[in-house]
This record gives sequence, structure tokens and C-alpha cells, in this order.
Amino acid sequence: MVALLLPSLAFLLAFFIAPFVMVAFASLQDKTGAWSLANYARASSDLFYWRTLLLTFRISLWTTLVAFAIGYPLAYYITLVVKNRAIRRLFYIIVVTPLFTSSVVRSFGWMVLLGRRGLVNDALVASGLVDRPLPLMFSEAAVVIGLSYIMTPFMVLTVSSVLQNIDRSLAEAAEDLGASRLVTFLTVTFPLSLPGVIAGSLIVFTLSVSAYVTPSIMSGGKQVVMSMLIFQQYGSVFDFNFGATLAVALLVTTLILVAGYLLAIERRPRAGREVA
Amino acid sequence: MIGRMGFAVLLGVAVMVPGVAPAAAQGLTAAYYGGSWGEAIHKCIVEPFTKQAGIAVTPEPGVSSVTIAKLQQQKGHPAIDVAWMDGGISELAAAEDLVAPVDPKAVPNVADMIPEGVYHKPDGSIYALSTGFYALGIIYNTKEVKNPPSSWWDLWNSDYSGAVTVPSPTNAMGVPFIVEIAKLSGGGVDNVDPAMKKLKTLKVSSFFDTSGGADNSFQSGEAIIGAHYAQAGWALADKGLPIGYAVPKEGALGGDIRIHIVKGTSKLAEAEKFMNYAVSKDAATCMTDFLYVGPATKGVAPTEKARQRLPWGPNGSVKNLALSDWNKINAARAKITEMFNRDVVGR
Repeated sequence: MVALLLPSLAFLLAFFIAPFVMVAFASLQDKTGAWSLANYARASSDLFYWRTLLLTFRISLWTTLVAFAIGYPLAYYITLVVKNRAIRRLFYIIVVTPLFTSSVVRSFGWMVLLGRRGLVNDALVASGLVDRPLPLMFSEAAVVIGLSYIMTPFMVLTVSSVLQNIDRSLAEAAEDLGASRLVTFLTVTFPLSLPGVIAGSLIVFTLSVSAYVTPSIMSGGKQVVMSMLIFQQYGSVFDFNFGATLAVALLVTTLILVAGYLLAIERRPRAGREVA
Repeated sequence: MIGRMGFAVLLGVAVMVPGVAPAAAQGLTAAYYGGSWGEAIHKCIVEPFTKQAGIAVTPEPGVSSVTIAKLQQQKGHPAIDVAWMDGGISELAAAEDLVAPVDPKAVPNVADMIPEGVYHKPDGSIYALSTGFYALGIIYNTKEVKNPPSSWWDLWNSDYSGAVTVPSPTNAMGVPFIVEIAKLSGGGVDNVDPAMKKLKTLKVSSFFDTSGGADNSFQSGEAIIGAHYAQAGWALADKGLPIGYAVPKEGALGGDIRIHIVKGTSKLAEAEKFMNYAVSKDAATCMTDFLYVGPATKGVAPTEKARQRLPWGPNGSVKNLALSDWNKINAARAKITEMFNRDVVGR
């Protein structure tokens, strides 16, 4: 067993642990290379960085909720409603297609839709719902829209992989015993699919927290998330030490949030136990 | 399932692709940009040089901030022999002793350059040569903006409220732009408060990080006026968009791309030859015609189209550009960036 683990351990060590340790060391040094906690003092004593962290998490949370709201019904439909295997495969291909386009192209594509003279505004103005085009682009909402679009496939894939492994006789038994389809869904299917929802929401949330290209384009620089601050420190200010501090702070707070989320789910009885 | 399989395939590929060794063959390795700038350097300098001198040049593509990071890592044993970096980064590279002094005897074309294009260290030695000036001026939509703008303050005109774009501090000209606004409102590089106050009242559509981001804003009509690169504006106009470029009366903000010889290169003689060609009249003329950059080499006669599109205007010279004191800007960059994040973005 241990031998089987070795390649993945080596991979983690080389491409995650080693670079992370280097970043962590850099975060604990000042510009002269001397050990210092000054970077952490600077980041934690300044409300601006806390507000940025909060904004980052708020955007990621909204993205997770939207990805769930769109992704779950989609996954349900693909796995449990569509009977034809070929059509099901086609759906999977459609769902993953966006992942093959670069996020730069995808984000600029949104401008065509959400811009002042984009399709959405044209339709709203033409239908008389609004007098003048709405500022849809370059806002917090735009970042959430852009990220949700990119993240929904991850939710669909994780949820549907769990849904298709649920024993269908369980739902049939519930219906035989007189439960309506809604009650069957709420008491049997949905609880059994929770592991997929949990895995999907973790993937979506953590990817959203670290996303750079989409927030940077969709916010139009009017909202700054942590990844943009980190990039600024590395790419334009050249303060690698403070950039490292912000990166470590983001990773640690995200880990704490994820741990808290998993702990809260563990504490709840029932949730996901049956499948595990 | 597909996601997991895709990931496994990716992992496999990542593990199997061996590390690419730095080019050790004969010939030079030159770090320069991608995109249209890289194309111009390749067509105007690299190709004709190789044809003439018989020395192969391997490109090492990257933006200036990535190039300087590579030079820092390779200090002492560089795999790059010649490097292009923008003004601003160039000063940092010189201060960190990453670039070699240029000997005017080995690079005789230095004698035919304008003084603004030759960069000296405090000890008098030359550390960089300009291969073209670019400008950040006012780009505007000629259909939406009736009166051609003439001053930076036209960006504050309420007619353009919500449809303005200016560079963020992440962009190469972002901090210089903030400093220029500070200077024009009674401050300066050491006192940018007046600029922050002004920028807070500017009703922007976006602050752009990359030149491409601003291009898209103008293309989609999100922005109708803004502080943007002249060269990018002309490229949009060439696509048939109603885009014009105006030099503000306070002066367009100038920057340049510069060539450096990397300190410790094992091919100093070849690198000097290459640099000499890069600043020659032929190369500079080609760069001007191709990119509309302002030549740093004297005696360049551009085509009429290129002359009309020079960053300093058809009849100007480098004196019409507001050039930044990059050492001062670099020293204040962290503070200005933080103030901008806090006061202008986080308002």
C-alpha cells in the first residue's frame, strides 16, 4: 500500500510542499533576508487586508451557491432523468466544453453579453424594462457570474458521479411505500447525494478563492480580491516577502474555513454516512 | 468522472515531460516580449541580424517582470545573454547588478542615439539602450466623443461619466499615471494625495491591469475615453473601429523598451554585436514603421503613416513626452499601490 502512495507523495512534495515551504520562509523574512514577523504584523493590523479577505470569501461563497443552484438540477437531470446513454454522454461533453477554453477568452466573452451594449442590456432596453443600460460589467456581481460559469462544471461532475451510484431501488422502495416524488427526493435521494455536494462545493469554493484571471477581468479593477493583491506584490511592486505573507494568510484562512465546514458536517447526524 | 480522468491524464503528462534544459547551443539567447512587440523585435532585429552576422538567436519569451525574475535566479550563470526590459524594470535590473556595462567602442551605434535613449549608472557607465519609445496618451471613441480631448482633465468631463478607463497600478504605466495626475494637481511622486483625491472623483468604467483589457473595453463600447497606449489605439483604428489618439497638452506619458547585455554572459562579443544591430538605423526604422514607436536612434525616416502615428505626434520629438523618473517611482511604488487600493478602489 505504501509503495502505491509513493508517486503521489513525491508529486505532492515536489510541486506543492516544497514550493509552499519556500513561500512560507519568504513570508517570514524582511527585504534584507532577516527573520521577522513584520509582514504578518502589517497584514493583520490593517483592516484593508481583512476587508479584502472578506470580499474574497463572500464572492467565493456566492459562486458556490450559484454553482450548486445551477449544477445540482443539471446533474440530477443528466443522471436520473435522461435515459438514453448517448444523450447523457452528449450532456457531459456540453458541460465540460467550457473548461477547454482559456479563462481569459471566457471572461472577455462575458463583455459581449453583459456590456453596456451587450445582448442582455440590448434586450432589457428593447423590451422597455429599463430606460438606460445597466452597469452589469465590472462589478462584484460580474465576478460572481464569471466565476459561477467556470465553476458549475465541477459541481455537475462531482454531484452526478455520486448520483449515478445511488441504488435506485431505494427510491423505488420509498415510492412503493407511498412517498411522493418530492418527499422521496428530499428524504432519500438528496441526503444520499450530499457527499457529492460537499466535495463539489469544496472544489468550487477553493478554486474561486484562488482564481485570478476572472476576478481581475470581470471586476474591472474596481474590486480587489486577495489573488489580485498577491499578484500586485509579486508582479509589479516586487515585494516577494509581503506577497508571500498574503498568500500564506489566504491559504491558512481558507484551510480553517474548510476545516470548520467539514467539522460542522461531521457533527450533523445522518449526513452522508450511508454512502461512506 | 470525466473530470477525474482528465486530471489523471494531466498528472501523467506533467510527470513525464522532462525539464527543458536552457539552450546551450551556439548562438545567443535573447529574452523579449510576446505579442506584437515580440513580432516586431523578431522581424526588425533578430531575423536580419541572424542573416547578416550568421549568429542564431533563440528567443526566451516573457514580460519584463518575468524576465527580471529569471535574471535574478540565473545571477552568475545566466542562460540568457541579451534581455529586453521596460523602463522601470530596467532600473531595478541595473541596481541589482544583473546587467553588464555597455562599451561604446564595442557598440559604436551608441554614438548615433539621442541622449534620452542611453541610460547611465551613477558611475557613468551605460547599462541600457532604448529600442523605441511608446506613449500613454488619450484614446477615445471618435463617434461618442465629439470634441477631440486635449488635456488629461477631459477624462473628468461629466459627459463621459462611467465610460472612462485608466491603468491600475499593476499596469506598467499605472503608477507613472498617478504620479502625473499628482504633479498636475500640486503634488508629486512624494505626495500623491492630491492624485488620490482626483482619482476618487473619476467615474471610471474600469481600471485596466493589461493593455488587452483596455482594448476590449474600447472595442465593446464599455469605455469611450481613457488613458491608454497610443500603439494599442492605432491597432484598434486599423481594425476599422472609430478610435482616435490625442496627445494631452500636458504631454503624453513616455516609456520605452530597452535592450541590456546580461552580466556574466559567456558570449559577450556576440551580445555586443547584437545590441549594436538592435540600435542601428535600419532596425530602428523598421521598429518605427511596424509598431509606430518613437525611435531612439537619430536620422530615422519613417513612412508618412508611421510619422503621423508617432507617440509624440507627427511633428514632436522625445522632448514632448513626459518621461518618468523611474528610480523615484520604484522607490514609491509600494506605497502608491497601497494607497490606490485603499483610497481609490476601496472607496
